[in-house]
Amino acid sequence: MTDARPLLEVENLEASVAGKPILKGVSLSIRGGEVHALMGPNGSGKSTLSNVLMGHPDYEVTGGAVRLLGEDLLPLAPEERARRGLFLAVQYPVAIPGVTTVQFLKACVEAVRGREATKAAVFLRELRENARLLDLGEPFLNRPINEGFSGGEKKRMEILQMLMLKPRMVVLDETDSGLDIDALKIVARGVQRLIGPEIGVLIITHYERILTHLPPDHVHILVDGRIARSGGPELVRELEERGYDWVREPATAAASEPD
Amino acid sequence: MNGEALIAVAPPGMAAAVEDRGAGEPVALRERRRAALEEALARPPPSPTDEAWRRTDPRRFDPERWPIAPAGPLHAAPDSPPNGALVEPFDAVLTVWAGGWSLADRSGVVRSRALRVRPLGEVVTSDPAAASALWEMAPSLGPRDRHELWALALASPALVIEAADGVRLERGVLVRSLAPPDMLWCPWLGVRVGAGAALHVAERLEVGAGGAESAAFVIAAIRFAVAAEGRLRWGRLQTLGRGALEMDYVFGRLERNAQADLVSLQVGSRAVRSRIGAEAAATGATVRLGGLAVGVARQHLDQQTVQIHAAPDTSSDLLFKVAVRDRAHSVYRGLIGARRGSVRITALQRNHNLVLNDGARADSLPGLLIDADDLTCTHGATIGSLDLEQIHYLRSRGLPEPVARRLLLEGFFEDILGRLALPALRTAARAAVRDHLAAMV
Ligand SMILES: Nc1ncnc2c1ncn2[C@@H]1O[C@H](COP(=O)(O)OP(=O)(O)OP(=O)(O)O)[C@@H](O)[C@H]1O
Ligand SMILES: [Mg+2]
Repeated sequence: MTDARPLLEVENLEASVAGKPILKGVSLSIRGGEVHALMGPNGSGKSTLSNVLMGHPDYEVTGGAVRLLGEDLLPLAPEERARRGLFLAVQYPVAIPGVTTVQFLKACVEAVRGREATKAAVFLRELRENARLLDLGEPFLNRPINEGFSGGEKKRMEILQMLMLKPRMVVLDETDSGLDIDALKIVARGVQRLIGPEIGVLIITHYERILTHLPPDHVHILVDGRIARSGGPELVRELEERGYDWVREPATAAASEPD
Repeated sequence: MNGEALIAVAPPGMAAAVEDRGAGEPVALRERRRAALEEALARPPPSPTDEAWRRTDPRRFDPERWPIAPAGPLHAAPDSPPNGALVEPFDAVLTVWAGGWSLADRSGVVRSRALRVRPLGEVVTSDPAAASALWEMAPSLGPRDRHELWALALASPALVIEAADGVRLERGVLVRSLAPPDMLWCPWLGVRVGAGAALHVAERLEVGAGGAESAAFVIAAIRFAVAAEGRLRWGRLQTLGRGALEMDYVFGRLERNAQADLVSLQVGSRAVRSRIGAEAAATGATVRLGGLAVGVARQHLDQQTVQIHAAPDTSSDLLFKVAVRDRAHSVYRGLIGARRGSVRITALQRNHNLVLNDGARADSLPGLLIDADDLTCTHGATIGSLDLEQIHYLRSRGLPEPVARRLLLEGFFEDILGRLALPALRTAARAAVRDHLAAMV
């Protein structure tokens, strides 16, 4: 059932920001139908990886490769990556004053899915349906996007965008952070709506809870710009119990240990 | 001073044009025209060393280098440029051109006498105090500009729109001002809103059909008088062609508990010099002033606003937004004046500028002339460029960079457009901004 070819391949990726190396050789391979979780201490480079995947101009790729459905992603502009099916729910969503959610989504859906998808009746029906699923009322659709939204509302708005753009490969950067218990379920419900054999998901998180709603097939732990450990869902449990010191490089762990 | 003496000192054609306009008018108005001309001639021409002209080269606005548009009833209406706004259900449409004017009474409001449009001369005869209040209103705090005096002397057509006491004309009056190509034109418009009346006015200033790309020099004078409890919402969209010069002197006066919401939309012209302001003249008056200006290529935009508080318990709220690109240059100056003894005043002034590339420039100069002690006054100005995080966010959702920038710019202006009462003007303004940014790269 799964495509022989991986959806997203990250190979030995190195990247720096403001001249400082952050990613020091990251490799990942995600196939259609798979959910991967990426965990790791603050500052280890998780958001950097997601930003590099999306082509944020502040990040410089210094080595390695990224392919989406076999195509080299790195030379592509962010909008071209989006149009090929990559979606990043960002850790800190950006407000766009004066541009309503409807207006914003209409422009984006037209750019990614084509004009057919934005025919008034079809588009609005789909938008309302998805908004209802995420418990975002009509007023949110007519307000400037993310402006004055609460933290949790912004996160749900990211998921709304994801549902409207129908991506193939989704990266969720701490979409669960700052959500109350109900909102977390709502967000998980949104992601479940999208998930299917064709879709790849990478969930960046600090917490086990979202993974109980969206069980991962693979878990990776990023430490200081490298994948320190990869495994099955059991890794999450171990992390909860033992903390990150357990996965840090033996050299680092030894050095920090008193004799 | 008599006519012959004037001819000796006035630029060729100027004195004759003034006399020509005054010919059919009441003596009182003719005398005012002459007085304005005389005062203009007594003033030294503006020089780049004058404070008011420090950032705008006065040689760009030399009316003496332009033939004066002929006035009088001999000239038929020019063909109008196509105008989508005309399908809107306005109460009335007033078309104004150099040779005359016409009025379409769309919902019978003229017939029922709720709305009236007549030459200033008639108001001078029937209601001299009201006429002179309109004529004398001044948008600047110092002596009148020489250009403004030209505009008064040459005013044509000089028309007054009047909403009777207590009427509500919320479907609005569309004023189409069609500038004659390659000439100096000085339209004068007075607006009187009766006690407790509500009036919406949308003005579109453009060059008559066929001349869209031609040069034109327009010096417009616009005056509002809003009576007690009256409410005026007025918006003006200027889309003259890229060879045009536009100057305007817009000023309003508000009586007790009156409200005015004035929005200026400057999109066209090679150079603009706009003076817009209002005086909250009696207790409880509330003024909102909004401005949008877009400069591209080598456009020069010089805007000055004046908020005057002459009575207690008055408030004003000003928001002017400017975007400049290419080598365009914008100068904004905002004045707030409050008269001593005017207590419990709230004055808000904000000017936000977007500079879209290195060669463009925006200056913002606040000026407070406060002579009151019980006043809440907030003013703020920003000059910046489009936010790179916002651009990236939009691109990561599939929008190419130019589309992302355009959307951000439209968003930037949206709160100004939201101040417009009439949807037709909002739509037209949105399209004009978009076309302007797209066409003049
Ligand atoms: N735009 C930037 N400018 C400067 N430094 C940056 C930038 N983006 C990331 N960094 C630095 O790169 C390192 C990795 O940051 P990143 O945001 O990728 O961490 P993270 O793993 O997502 O952390 P968290 O769990 O706190 O979200 C940090 O030291 C951070 O300060
Ligand atoms: Mg992060």
